[in-house]
Amino acid sequence: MKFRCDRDDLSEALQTVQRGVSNRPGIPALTGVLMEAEEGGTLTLTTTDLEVSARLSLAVTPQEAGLALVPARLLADMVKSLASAPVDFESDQGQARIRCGAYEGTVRLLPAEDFPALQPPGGTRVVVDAPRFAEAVGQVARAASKDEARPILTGVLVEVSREGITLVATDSYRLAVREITATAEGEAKAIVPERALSEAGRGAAGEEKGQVEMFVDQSQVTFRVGRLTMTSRLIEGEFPNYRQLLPEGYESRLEASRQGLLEAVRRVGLMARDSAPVRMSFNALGVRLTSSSPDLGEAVETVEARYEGEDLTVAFNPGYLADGLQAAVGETVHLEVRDGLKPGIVRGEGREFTYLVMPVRLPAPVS
Amino acid sequence: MGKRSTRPAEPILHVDLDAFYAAVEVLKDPSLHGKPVLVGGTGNRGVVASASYEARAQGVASAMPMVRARRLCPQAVVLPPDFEAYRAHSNRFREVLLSYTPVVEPIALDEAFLDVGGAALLFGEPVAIGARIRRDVRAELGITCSVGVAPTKFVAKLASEAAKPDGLVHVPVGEVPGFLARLPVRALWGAGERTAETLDRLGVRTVGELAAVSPAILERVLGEAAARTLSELAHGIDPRDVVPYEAPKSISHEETFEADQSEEETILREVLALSRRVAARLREDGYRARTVVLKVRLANFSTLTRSRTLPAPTDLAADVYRVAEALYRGLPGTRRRIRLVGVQATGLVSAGAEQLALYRGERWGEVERAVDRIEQRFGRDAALPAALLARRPRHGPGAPRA
Repeated sequence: MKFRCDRDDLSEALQTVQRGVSNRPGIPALTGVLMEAEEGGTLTLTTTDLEVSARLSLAVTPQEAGLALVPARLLADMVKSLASAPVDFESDQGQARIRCGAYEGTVRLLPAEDFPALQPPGGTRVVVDAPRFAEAVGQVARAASKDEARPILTGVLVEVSREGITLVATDSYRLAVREITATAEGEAKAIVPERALSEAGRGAAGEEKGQVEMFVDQSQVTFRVGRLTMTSRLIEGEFPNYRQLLPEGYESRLEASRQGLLEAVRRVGLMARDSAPVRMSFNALGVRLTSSSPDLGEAVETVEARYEGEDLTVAFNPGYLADGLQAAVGETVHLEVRDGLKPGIVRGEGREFTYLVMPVRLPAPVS
Repeated sequence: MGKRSTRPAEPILHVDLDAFYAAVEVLKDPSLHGKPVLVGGTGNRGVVASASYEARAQGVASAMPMVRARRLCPQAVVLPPDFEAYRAHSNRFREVLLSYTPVVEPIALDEAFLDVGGAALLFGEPVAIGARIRRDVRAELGITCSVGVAPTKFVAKLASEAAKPDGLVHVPVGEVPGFLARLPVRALWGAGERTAETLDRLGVRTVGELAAVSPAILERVLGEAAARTLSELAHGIDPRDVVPYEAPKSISHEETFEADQSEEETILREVLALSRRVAARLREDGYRARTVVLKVRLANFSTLTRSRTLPAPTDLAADVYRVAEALYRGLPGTRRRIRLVGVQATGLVSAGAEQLALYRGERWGEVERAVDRIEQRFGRDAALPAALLARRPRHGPGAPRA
């Protein structure tokens, strides 16, 4: 295999295919990036960790078709460090030679026959606007659990219906739901690892006018956006029934500047440590935030806002609340509360995004 | 600005909640307000753990047999103790105290010593701090408390007793001898029934009289050590510092198998049993753990430990076991022969505030707390997960015979 290409193009492509894929050792072939050059001038890069795989094509100046499995991390680091000049790549059975400007390096290859064959995409096909998909993933993915002991919650539920798709994530303390209109051929349901979905979202963010094509079947999901194809195994199991967790809405509602409230929660939240919450006292003038830690200090801030409802105090983990406020896009944010035991509801300007956040129960009810 | 010594002459506070258990019961059921309330063993042999002031007015006192208390106060409402509620209020009480100084030494759920010597610059004189604590406790808990302010711990405790209910007594250094002089000898710590009788024979009945006895005579009748302590106390001398409570760093249980085990089912069953004990201890002591550690000692005595930190602290066996099981399954190799397993909870945080969950966790917590109550009443392992039934030796009717 032999080709010449632009350094920036190759570098970016190598970074992209490496991101969604974990660097677990175990099988040496999985640490490699499979490079396939076609006569027509298309170079395809593929990586996989058996859970997630990424494939990306880019245009190169072809000289000789062929393929090589190259240690991915080393090649990516090398190309990233090269000067901005055309890169010449050439490989034979055992090694690859990379030349750029005055630099020349050779890299020993991995056995390409050990690289697993990837399943072609299949199942229900869905097409969705790329910027909207990217925004939705950004809103929802943060609510997924990081706790590997509860695998189902480390994924994002993707529900496909004729009207569109719904993304749902929860770590059991908060829950994010986002609906997007989309063109779907049928119905489907899948729990997608958060890591893979976020990578697909990242790919979509670069495609301002493009579309994301998604294929969902029983065991895997594939995203195609621009030149990137991302495939992921699905997480098996039953996702919590989120619909029964969604309240109708409460009578006590705060309408505030999203940025103003977000910044106040973060500032006051600095004093909240471990499970210490930020207490939010809602009244006709807005909301008063307080937090204290015996060994740190205390903070208080009042955010003027419109509030309808009875005077209430509810305590929240500031990190969880801030995530929701940040995810709700738009100038204005709505926060609905019921009491100290029911979830708070965060909504942006539209109805397509809902974020529930459970309160922190204070030690004893104040009577 | 130069440094100046601001340590006040009477830096020690003793704060004591008034008729605590009974007061909490009134908070739980406001219809009890103004009625005589007794908390304690409701059976024939029970004793009074706490009595509301309405009941005390009729002669009821703490530690009195319940039968007698009922006779003295037949209209009293008698309730069994609800320690979960008391602990929750106690945590809140402690939070209030800690907002004034880290130097808080809790003695019971409802009382604590504070050394506010270092807090004067921030919050004012000890008496002012005592008044603020009384106000805060009332606002935050809805319960009244009494505060003693004195140069030493033991005088502060006597002062809070004198302040009850709902008061504050300040004993300045110069007034300590006068304050103590009137009290009976029995008020001194370490002066029990026998000591009091011995002193009584000498005609010594009050602390003032005790202070006047020559050390030599005291030593002869009480022995050297007791004489010195009592004499010091009688003069208001108490060298003990307020020792802030230090939280335990971890809670753990482990079990050595009678014979080395390699069967996964048996081992995990033991891990479940240990997880339950660890979680029960967490709940009992009012903690939640951030991190679960699994310890495994192999037949060759090498020890493996693995730990994982949870996204939110827990005090539930279901959570502890889930992590411990995952850690066990993540151990290298198969067919290990295991000598001992242990489960440890670390990264303990006070269970004061609790992050609620949208589902499951909440209800599961109720289950485990219900089991706690069953065990309190019927003994350990009175209620068990079905998986642990096989572990327990079976006796009684219907049990399969060996």
